[in-house]
Amino acid sequence: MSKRIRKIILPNICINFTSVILIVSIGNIISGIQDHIVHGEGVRINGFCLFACELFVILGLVTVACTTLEKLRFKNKISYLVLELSINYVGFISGAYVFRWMKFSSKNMKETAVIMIITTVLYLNVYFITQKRRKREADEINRLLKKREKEHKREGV
Amino acid sequence: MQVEVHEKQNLEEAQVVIYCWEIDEKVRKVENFIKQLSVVINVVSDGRICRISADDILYIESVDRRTFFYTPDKIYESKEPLYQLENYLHGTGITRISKNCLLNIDRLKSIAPFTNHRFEATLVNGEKVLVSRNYIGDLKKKLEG
Repeated sequence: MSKRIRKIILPNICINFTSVILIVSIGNIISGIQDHIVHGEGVRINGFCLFACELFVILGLVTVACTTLEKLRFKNKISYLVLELSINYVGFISGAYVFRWMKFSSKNMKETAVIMIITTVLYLNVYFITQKRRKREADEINRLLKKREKEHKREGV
Repeated sequence: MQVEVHEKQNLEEAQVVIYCWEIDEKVRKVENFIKQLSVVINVVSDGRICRISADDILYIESVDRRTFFYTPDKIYESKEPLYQLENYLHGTGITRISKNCLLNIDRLKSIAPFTNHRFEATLVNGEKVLVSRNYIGDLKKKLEG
């Protein structure tokens, strides 16, 4: 379990977290949005820091949920991708609703669409990064297999 | 490496003796290969008990507490749990690839990434089995010798 947390869950959370923070920061810079201060009871909280913490919680929950998919058997890659992407959508939209990242109404369909696009981009980003990493591992094993096969042929085994 | 084969009528079973300057990687490989040929397992097929060589096995799978041995032409069954077989077959080409599967690496053709952080292993007969991410390191170590 600890190996799974160290090798799968934590790297996934870190990649997603960094990507979202970067996208949101760049978005804020481009649109000229100033960071706001949330006033608590005698406490001044930086709005962006609060968002970062909330995002970390949501990412953690979504990543753990996606990792548990490992226990299920899928017939093909498509069904797995669809289910994992659905978990991402539900997680992020619920997070946006609970933490009031935006108002949900028929008027702000545009913002909802933006969240969905960001989710899809993030998902595909992580998917292709991990896929590339696993491809490298598979190539290394295939190289060892070929080497072994050549040795067996040479030794006449 | 010189190879000689002599026939002797009074032997109960074939004997292999290796003479070498020193036990290097090659000698160790030959030794392991011969050991693998001599490792046999009692299995059940069509209600009859028979013995199969570890070298004939493609993979061993545990389903509902029953253990199945897959060879290129037949499926055998055994009551031995997977962890006991894993210990018994230690030193052969058979290694664990998931919680419920052992694979003979000498029958492995190639490997490719699959979903859920797993890998899909293609065997020499075209059959495919899934390799769990947790065991990919062990598989690599086994291939490296």
